[in-house]
Amino acid sequence: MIEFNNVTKQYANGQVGLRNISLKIPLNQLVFITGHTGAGKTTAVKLMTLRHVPTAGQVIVSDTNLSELSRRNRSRYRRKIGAVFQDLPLLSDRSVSDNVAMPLLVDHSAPAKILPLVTTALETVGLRSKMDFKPTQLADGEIRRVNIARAIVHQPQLLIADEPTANMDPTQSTKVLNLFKRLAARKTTVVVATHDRDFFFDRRYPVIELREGQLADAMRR
Amino acid sequence: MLMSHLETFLFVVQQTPELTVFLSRDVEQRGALTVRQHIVELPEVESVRIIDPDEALNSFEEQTGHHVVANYVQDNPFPITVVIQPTRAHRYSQHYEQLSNYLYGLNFVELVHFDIEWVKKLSLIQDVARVLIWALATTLLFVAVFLICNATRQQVAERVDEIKVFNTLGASRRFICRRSVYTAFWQTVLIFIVTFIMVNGLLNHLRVPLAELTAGYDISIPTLQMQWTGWLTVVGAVLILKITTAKISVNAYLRMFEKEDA
Ligand SMILES: Nc1ncnc2c1ncn2[C@@H]1O[C@H](COP(=O)(O)OP(=O)(O)OP(=O)(O)O)[C@@H](O)[C@H]1O
Ligand SMILES: [Mg+2]
Repeated sequence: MIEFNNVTKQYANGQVGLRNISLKIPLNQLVFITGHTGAGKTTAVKLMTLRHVPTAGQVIVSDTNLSELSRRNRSRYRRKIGAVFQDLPLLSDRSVSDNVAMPLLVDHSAPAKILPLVTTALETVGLRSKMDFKPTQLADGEIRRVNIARAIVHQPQLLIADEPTANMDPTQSTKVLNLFKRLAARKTTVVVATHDRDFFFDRRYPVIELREGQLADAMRR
Repeated sequence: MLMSHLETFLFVVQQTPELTVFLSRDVEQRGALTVRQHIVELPEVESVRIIDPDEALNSFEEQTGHHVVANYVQDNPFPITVVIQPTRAHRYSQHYEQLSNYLYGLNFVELVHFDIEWVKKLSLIQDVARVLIWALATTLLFVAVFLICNATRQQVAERVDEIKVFNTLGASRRFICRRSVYTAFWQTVLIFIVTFIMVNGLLNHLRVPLAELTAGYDISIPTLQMQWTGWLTVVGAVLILKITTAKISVNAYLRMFEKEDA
């Protein structure tokens, strides 16, 4: 269970990202976070991925209060989860496969395991043929998919994605959605922040709607 | 090392300042040897030379320009003379005063002569030279430190995107620093090789002219070749400087990211 207990996130400039919000996200399935622009989706994602700590309240993941982790454990937590961020670009001076391999390097994976895992991840997003390309040689939608490959390469138990399908055409974003569904079926917790309503129109997955930093309504199924 | 090279060079162009000690006229060769024994034992003395009266008369003529020989053919007024050359470290006026006081305290010593003006000038030259050398060395050191630090900082700055990605993906500080530290290490090795070749090439070029220059002055240049310990110190210092700078810059970026994300 991922829990937000009375979480407020106020930025250094006084802007409030989330305002006293409490919610529960069940594990091992796909969950959406939605809302208008500026509603606080990215703020919620960054709190769950430990890029931010809440100004007040607690973010609890599997009974661990993230604010209480030591620096070392905070890094460990970041290594274990998978994350697609809007503001974490690929490195333009290295190949697609080198970019995708970064979480494995950071986690000290055995060198022999790296190539197979990278290949698998790129295959999953349909970019195996472009392994040796530089990011500058890719289309926007392809770059987004490499981002997703980088987030899943180490097969994390928890995947948190912020607008993973921005700049993608409907065919592509449906493929990505199907990928997330497959991962969730394999007991991966997948939290997707998106304003792409096509994603959850069938209401088969929980949707958390934010509005101006607060819950638009309670969780529904 | 630089210091000793330049000082050596300075001494090449300087004359050697001596003290001349005139013994009492009734002192024989034996007495002179006793005096010499006393003087030789002093730490501030480099060499002692005994000059017999005839030689002393000639030497005096050379120094003063007076032609006295003719007047004293029969009766040489000069006693046995002892010429003292102080060591390099003791060529300041206060040393001359001390030495001269000590000499006056010895048996058989009649008169101690040295050119105080000349000694003072020499002291001054030495002082100025020393200050200049230190200033030069310090400036060079600061410039070198600045260049090294700046280059290292620049290299870390070029990696800033990578540092950001690694940090966000949960890399430990040690992991993030490692690449910069590797870079710093290999660059130091490279710098060392280049400097080693350059310095040795330069010294090889300079050896012949320096030898010619010093040939007439009975001065050797013992420390021209940089010692292994010297090289090791320099390489160690550069390595520590580069690695420390790399670590500090990486940590500065990590703190910046943390603040941005706070
Ligand atoms: N780093 C920051 N510093 C200051 N204010 C911020 C920062 N990040 C977000 N905010 C503010 O917090 C509020 C929520 O922003 P957030 O990025 O979470 O919205 P969002 O739902 O992700 O929007 P979008 O759909 O446009 O990505 C906004 O008012 C925004 O201006
Ligand atoms: Mg956002």
